[in-house]
Amino acid sequence: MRAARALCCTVPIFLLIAEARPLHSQSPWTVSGRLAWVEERVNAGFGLERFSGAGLGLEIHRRLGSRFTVGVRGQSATLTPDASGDLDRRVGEAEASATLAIKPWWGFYGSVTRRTIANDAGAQSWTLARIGAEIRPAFTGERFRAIGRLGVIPVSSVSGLSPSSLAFDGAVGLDYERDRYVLGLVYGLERFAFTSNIGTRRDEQLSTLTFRGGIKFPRRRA
Amino acid sequence: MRRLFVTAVFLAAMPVCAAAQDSTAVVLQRARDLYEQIELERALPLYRGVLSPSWRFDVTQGQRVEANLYLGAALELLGQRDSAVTHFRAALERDPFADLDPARFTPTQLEAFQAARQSVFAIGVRPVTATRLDPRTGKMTFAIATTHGAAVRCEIRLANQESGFPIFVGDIQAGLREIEWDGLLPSGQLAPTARYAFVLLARSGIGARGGNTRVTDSTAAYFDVRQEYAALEDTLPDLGAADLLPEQYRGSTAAGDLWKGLGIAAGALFLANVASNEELGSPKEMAAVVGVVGVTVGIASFATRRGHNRPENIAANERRRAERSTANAEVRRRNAERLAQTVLLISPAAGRSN
Repeated sequence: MRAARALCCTVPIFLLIAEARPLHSQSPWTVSGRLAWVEERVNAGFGLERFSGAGLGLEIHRRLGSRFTVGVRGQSATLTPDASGDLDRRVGEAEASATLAIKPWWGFYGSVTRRTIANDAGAQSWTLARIGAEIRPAFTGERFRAIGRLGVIPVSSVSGLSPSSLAFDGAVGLDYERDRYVLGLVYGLERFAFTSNIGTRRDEQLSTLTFRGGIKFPRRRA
Repeated sequence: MRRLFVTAVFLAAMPVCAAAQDSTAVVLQRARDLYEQIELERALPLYRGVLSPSWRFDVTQGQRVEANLYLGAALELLGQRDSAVTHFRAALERDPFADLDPARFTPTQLEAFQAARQSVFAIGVRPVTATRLDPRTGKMTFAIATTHGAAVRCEIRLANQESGFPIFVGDIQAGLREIEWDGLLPSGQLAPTARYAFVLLARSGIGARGGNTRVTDSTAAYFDVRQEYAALEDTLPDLGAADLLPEQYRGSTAAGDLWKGLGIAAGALFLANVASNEELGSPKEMAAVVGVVGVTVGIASFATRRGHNRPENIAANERRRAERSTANAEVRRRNAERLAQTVLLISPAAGRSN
């Protein structure tokens, strides 16, 4: 609860800082398709359970000014268990995100994610809010950019579980941009440690390898 | 007492007044009045007095010429033609522009003057008058004179040079003649700012046949030329190293790319091995894929960038050079337009004439 309050205070300040910058009259939109390989590992006290599968998604970003970018993303995946006795899981999530570039090569990011994990027996709703720092150093020529992210998830509300005592995320990867086209390859990790209602520890970890391809529009003026 | 003081002041001033009345100009005016009243016998001593070496006052060139002319005219009226011609010659030698007004002098005086002209060869150039010459529309004139017909060559020279370019070559009659100059050099360019001499070279058309001891003569008039035009703009300076982008990748830049690629791999390994839950483990394949791609991009960038050209910077530099060239061409065009409106300011200058 305290973490949620801190986030509620932080996000408006974050947005105010961003809006204090002069905005460009035309900010490009980026629409990207995502192809992800998702792997979820869970240990709820009954040993390691592993689910993996491919997912598809779509994301839209809009750059506001020279520093601020907002976006929405939707993605779904069907995960099959490694163990033969488990049920398939369907993961769907929607996310609203924002990025503030302090310098061209580093900044902060934050997002709110609504995730649903379901199988034939039931569904679990996740609400996550995260904030962290991001570095994006450009390779020579400015077409490739390395990506590194590390942040915390101060708000992690999962139905049936108490808030996670430890939750953070990180990502590392590479972006390539040429003219209007954007490609990206990112390896991301989310790690949670919950306590169930009956007091048992539940560790969860979600890893994704995402390939992203997108296009910017309208064409930027020279 | 007061009357005595006024008398003393009056007496003290008398010699000054007398001296002023005897000055050259006053004497010449008195002599001219006597000449006009046909009081020739009384005018002659006054003219002779002015021309005498013992004359106490300054005599200008013009006053000496005038005295000789009137003395010659008076002597001609008195029937002393040879003496008259001698004085006319003396006047012409001093001033080739000297002439008798046909409305004021008798035909015999004019004949004697013409005889004097034939017997002496002298040439002259009037000092240049200050003027503003627009070479597109106007010309400046040099007034020259010879005592009789002559073959002349008029040249413009730089003041410190022995040769110049001719602006008139040919025969002229006795008397005044005006020679025009448009301010251009033979190349068609405007005369640059400098000191020039208008040089008149002449050969008598009569030569030794007329008893002249001198058959050639030369003289010059000096003048300054200054070009006047609107202030010109400076062209843009050459682009320096600070104005241009590096056209080749530096070794450190390429090495930086390699480090970034390695950083991606290190980050992937960190997430997979350190940040992940030990008990849950992590999919090392994902980290490996990203790490390999990162290292590959880093190595490729390092290999392709180090010491290689940067086409985008080369193009940007070319654009800057082209913009500078265009701007300079515009500056040169505007300067040329201003120079085309140049006028020449002519002013007389001191100089030695031959």
